[in-house]
Amino acid sequence: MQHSKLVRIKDSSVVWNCLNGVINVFKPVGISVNNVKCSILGNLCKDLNSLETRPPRDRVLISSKNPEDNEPRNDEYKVEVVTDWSDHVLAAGQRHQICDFKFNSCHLSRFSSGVLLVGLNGGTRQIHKIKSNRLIRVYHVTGELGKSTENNFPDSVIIARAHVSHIWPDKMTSVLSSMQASHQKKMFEFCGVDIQSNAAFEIAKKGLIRPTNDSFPIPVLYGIKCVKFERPKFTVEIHAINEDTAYLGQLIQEIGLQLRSVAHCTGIRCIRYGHFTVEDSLLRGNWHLQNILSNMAMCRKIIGEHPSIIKQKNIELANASSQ
Amino acid sequence: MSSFLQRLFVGKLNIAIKRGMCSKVSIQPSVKKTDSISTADDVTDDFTTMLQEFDNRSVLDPPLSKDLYTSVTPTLKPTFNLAAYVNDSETLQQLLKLGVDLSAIERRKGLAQFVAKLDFEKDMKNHIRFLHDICALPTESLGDFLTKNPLIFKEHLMDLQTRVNYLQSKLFKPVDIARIVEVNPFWLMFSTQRIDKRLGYFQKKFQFSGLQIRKLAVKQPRLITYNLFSVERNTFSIKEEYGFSLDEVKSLILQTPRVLMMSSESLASRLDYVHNVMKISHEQIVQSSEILQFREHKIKQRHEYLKLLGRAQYDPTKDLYVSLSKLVHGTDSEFAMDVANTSLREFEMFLRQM
Repeated sequence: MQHSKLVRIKDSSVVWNCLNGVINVFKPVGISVNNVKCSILGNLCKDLNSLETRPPRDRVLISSKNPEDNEPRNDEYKVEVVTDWSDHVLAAGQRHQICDFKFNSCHLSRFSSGVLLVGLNGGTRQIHKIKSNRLIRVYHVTGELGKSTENNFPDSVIIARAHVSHIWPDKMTSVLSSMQASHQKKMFEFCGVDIQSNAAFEIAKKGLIRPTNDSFPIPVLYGIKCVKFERPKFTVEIHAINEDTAYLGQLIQEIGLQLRSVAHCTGIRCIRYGHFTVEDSLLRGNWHLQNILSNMAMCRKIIGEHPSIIKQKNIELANASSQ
Repeated sequence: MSSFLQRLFVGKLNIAIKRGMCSKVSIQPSVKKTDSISTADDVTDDFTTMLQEFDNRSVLDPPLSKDLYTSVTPTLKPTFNLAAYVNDSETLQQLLKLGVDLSAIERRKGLAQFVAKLDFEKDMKNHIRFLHDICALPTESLGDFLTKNPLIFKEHLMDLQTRVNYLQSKLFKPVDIARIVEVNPFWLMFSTQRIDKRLGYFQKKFQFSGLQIRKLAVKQPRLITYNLFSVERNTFSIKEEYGFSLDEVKSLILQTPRVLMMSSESLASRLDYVHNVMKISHEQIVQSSEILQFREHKIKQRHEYLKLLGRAQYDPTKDLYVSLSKLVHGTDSEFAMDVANTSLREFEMFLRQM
């Protein structure tokens, strides 16, 4: 049996060449994607610079042999190789800097937490493809019944209060399943076919229908169910595409209204993005070179196993605007 | 001949700078700039006539003087960073050898121009010797000092000596002076009167004894020269908004002077979390004040994990007591194993639920 030999890499340029790919990061609540970018890239630069970096280059210096002699003849020149001080780390700046990195990521608002896919250097193109592929995202959205706020989130003023004692989990489930059914019906309406027809069956056979109008993406829910109910708090699991934070807030408010009460959203956590799950994500304390490289390898493996993340073969992206 | 031409070039260049034709040209090492000419207009005229003479000459003619072609080197070109001049300037090379980060200096406005004009023998040597000998600054930290504060070369040696003498007269030990200068490179830039006023301000505001104010100045030298608005704002926050008594404030500051230098928002949110959510009394906050130095999300994560396990018990008189310093110090795995008695994996699972 052959063992692969592990070698400790000391040279930073070797590591730099490996830093191409997608990583799966856990974005905590309360910090923006830009904060995530700054701290990941800052940590990467620090770690890369602490490895062995390139020494200053040499330069060829041609000078007269005798400095006092103002008119040297051709054979009296001295040619020597000296260190190029202008290439020194202290003069030219650190070898690896934040601006050297290319960074691209999917979006999560400051208020939400969970899986955030980040592309570094070569991985930025993959992120772009993943984004335009509209993978399904799964959220755990927590809401609170009985209070309604102005923007549906807890950071604004409360505008309405209502009773919650009449709400039970079975009622919640029936409301959610009717919502899911209406969204499924809407999907087929986007395609311009009757849900009872053979054409609808042919479309459904190919997989999920994903509206891709870039200028006005229409949110579509594929599944919604209640996973936790502790009145007045509840958590629903939402499978969706094209959604954003404001839409999820509205959804929670709508659930509240359907339950003859009011509600606002207290937390959004993205637990899955396509095949990337929250269990594999990199926590804030682990945003360092070693962990990022191993996470990148894992994401590469996931993309290799499921090429549909990058390139969808058999599922048509239905363009809602053309229908 | 050559030196004259060179001088003309430098003069011409200076005029260009004055008229704003080149933006970054003003970075010029002193070696080339020492003898620039003040009567700019005369020189311009001379220069143009001379250039015309050169233009009229045929290229096939023998050169006027041989030395014109051998020793005239091109003048330094405008640049965006000091690195371009390092090979030509002995002074900058000396700074590099001391460990000064020129790339950090040039990020701050105007400093690159100042540093480029310095001469090692004339402007720097005595200052560096002073820092090393009188202030007992260790050689390793000289580079950091000069990176942070290259403007020290602007100050007169006599002034610096007076400022050190002042510290000695206030009974600071030589070790303390070395620490003050090392930790706060800007201390020596402040005049004696200003430092005296600042020390007096802190002493009066918090009613410190002489020994205490010396301890404070040595523990956190940056506080004494820090922005007083921040100090006032944070003192107000601690005293009035959170109701700490003067004695508590005094010992809080002596233990953790950093609380006065934090941004007021983060101080308020940390105090709010520790006092109102974790229900920790003022006395206990004062006792283990280093908890205020840690970021709120760290305290929050760990406290909520302990709460979930039912181990969030910060009262030393009861069983299963968790000390506040143990709560925040140490890595996540140390915390999970030692304080929470679980595995790191479980703690990480919890963090992913937040």
